Amino acid sequence: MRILVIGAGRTGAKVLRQLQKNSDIELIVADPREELYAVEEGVIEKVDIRETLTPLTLDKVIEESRPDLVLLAMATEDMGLGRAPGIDVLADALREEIAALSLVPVIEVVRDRR
Amino acid sequence: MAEGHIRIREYVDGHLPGKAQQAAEKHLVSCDRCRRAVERLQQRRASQDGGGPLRILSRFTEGLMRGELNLLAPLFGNIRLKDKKAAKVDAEALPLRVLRPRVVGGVRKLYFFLGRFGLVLLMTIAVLLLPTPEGLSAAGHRALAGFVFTAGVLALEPVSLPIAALMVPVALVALGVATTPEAFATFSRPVVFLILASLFLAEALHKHGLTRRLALATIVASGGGTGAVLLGIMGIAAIFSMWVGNTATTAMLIPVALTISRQIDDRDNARELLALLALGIAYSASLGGMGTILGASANAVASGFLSQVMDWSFLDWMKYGIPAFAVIFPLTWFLLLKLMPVAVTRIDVEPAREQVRKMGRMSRTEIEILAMLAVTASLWVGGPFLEQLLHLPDSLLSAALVAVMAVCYLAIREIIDWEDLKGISWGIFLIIGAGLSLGETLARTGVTDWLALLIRPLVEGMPLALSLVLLILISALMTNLMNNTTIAAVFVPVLIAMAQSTPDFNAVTLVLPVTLATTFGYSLPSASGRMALLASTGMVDRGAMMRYGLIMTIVSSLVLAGLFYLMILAGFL
Repeated sequence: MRILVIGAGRTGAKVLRQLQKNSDIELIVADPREELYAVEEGVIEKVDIRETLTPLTLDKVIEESRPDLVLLAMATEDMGLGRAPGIDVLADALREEIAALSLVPVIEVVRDRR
Repeated sequence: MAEGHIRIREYVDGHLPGKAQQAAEKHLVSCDRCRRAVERLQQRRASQDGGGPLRILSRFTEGLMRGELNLLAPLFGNIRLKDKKAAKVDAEALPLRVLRPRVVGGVRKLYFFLGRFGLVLLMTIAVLLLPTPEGLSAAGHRALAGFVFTAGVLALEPVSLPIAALMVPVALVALGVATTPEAFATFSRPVVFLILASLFLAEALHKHGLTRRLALATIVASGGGTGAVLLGIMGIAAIFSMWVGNTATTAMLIPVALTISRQIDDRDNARELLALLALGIAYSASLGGMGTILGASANAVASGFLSQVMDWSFLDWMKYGIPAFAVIFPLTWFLLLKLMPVAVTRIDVEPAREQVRKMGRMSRTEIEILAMLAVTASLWVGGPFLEQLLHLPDSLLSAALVAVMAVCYLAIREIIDWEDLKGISWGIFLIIGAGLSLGETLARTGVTDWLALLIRPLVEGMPLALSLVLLILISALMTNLMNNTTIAAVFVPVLIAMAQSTPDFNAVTLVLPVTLATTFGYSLPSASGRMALLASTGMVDRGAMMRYGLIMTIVSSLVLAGLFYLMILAGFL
């Protein structure tokens, strides 16, 4: 089974550590950032896809990774969009939009830290 | 479920270990999807490779002329002689990218904080060191420094806005112009709870996906013409912004704009359309806020001051706010289409229809939320009449209490719970409280009277229309640099003081246009939460934001001035 994990920050690293327990699971990791907690901690060597997941990039990311399941594991704070008001709502709405548009099952494993 | 697909990039780059490479080759024989993906990536890679020596030389010369390369570049092997045309083809194959993370951290972040906060402190100290202006008391002088501190800290935001707002009472008490109870008294005004409750209601809409459903349904109903789609999404943004938080509404609708734009294959066309929709959403969310007291925190602050000098209800605001909205909203839509012509004239609404279909029929909860919103809005408008008619306790149906009752209802019906409410922008509570606290301090220490004397020439001895244009333009342009709550907090008490001493004006004539003009902060990210949100997503180029924003601000200000001038002439004010 191929699982695409979106986010290689603290939450992404936690998710990856758990999934790595099952060697049958093939993991693909996407994260647009340069400095990644999961890489620094040695959970993964590198990310496979350096891309921000939005409705605009969804098709390309899915085509490139061909996952059976997508896990959204990027907290709002980790999106690096700054602290503009409404960012939390935007991130939430974005995750919901992606989940609605995707033909592959998408599961949110993180929401904003509240 | 697909199984055993290969890692395309690693296969094409030859990074797979020997056995895995062989397995991948076997797999490619039987898997069409992987084979197509490999071919596509190989083509893409091939197009990035350089051509013959002449072509390389030509591109090297071109690079030198553009200043992208120097003569020694080939010696150090850091020359990327990428075929410009191929790169363009490659770029066109990629999707449009927005919402890309920014990197600010470490020393830069510290410098950012110290630099901005230091500047605020420096400005405050500078005002304190200046000789006391004539006509101003010593306390007034210190309050003026408090105003500079507040304006600075809210405009430059060395820390996030709500924390910056918390610094205001600290500064006012430290400057000796307010006691602690005085500085915090304004944080419990009914209008603060009205705004807070509107955010709770927004959360209910967001949680149950109503905003998205209605936006998608509107797009389907629009038929797909670009202008109609823009009008539809702007209309939804404006209607929601009248009743619930306008930044939250913008945030909820931006993903819908992304979904519409993703149907456009051409990147440039998609970017144009996205920028148009995003600006349309942000502008109309601001404009919708004109309609009601709870549409913007500046409205709440202005109403807070007006209700202290006259009978001022929710409906009173709407009497002026709704006509202003009704005139400026269609104008904004029209101007946006003229200023930002897009190549796409028609958008396929089938994907939106499909999304609506997937969402299924409206659930009972969604219907209940809509019904509750309708009842709440009716009570906001007609509450005072009902109170009198039914001999209800005084202010039982005041706007703030009605809003709080609506929230209680939603919680009792388990439509929202405390966990949902934890996530709302509680900061607005502090920002409005701080704005009112500053305004009251300025009034108490005589600064508003002093400022009123300074501004008086703008309204006395000058034609009425010109006075309105000047006041509105000043307010609209200032709101690009300063938080609109601060503008209302400072100017509304000044305008009220001025109106009370000028027989030709009443408070509403001055306060309403100036406060409504704070809606027109379109040019800079600092203008409003909506613009800050757009800037952080990278959907709209900063230059375009400033250019179109300035035109919109000026045109909208002139029209608003004209509208109020006509209302005054017609005896409506």
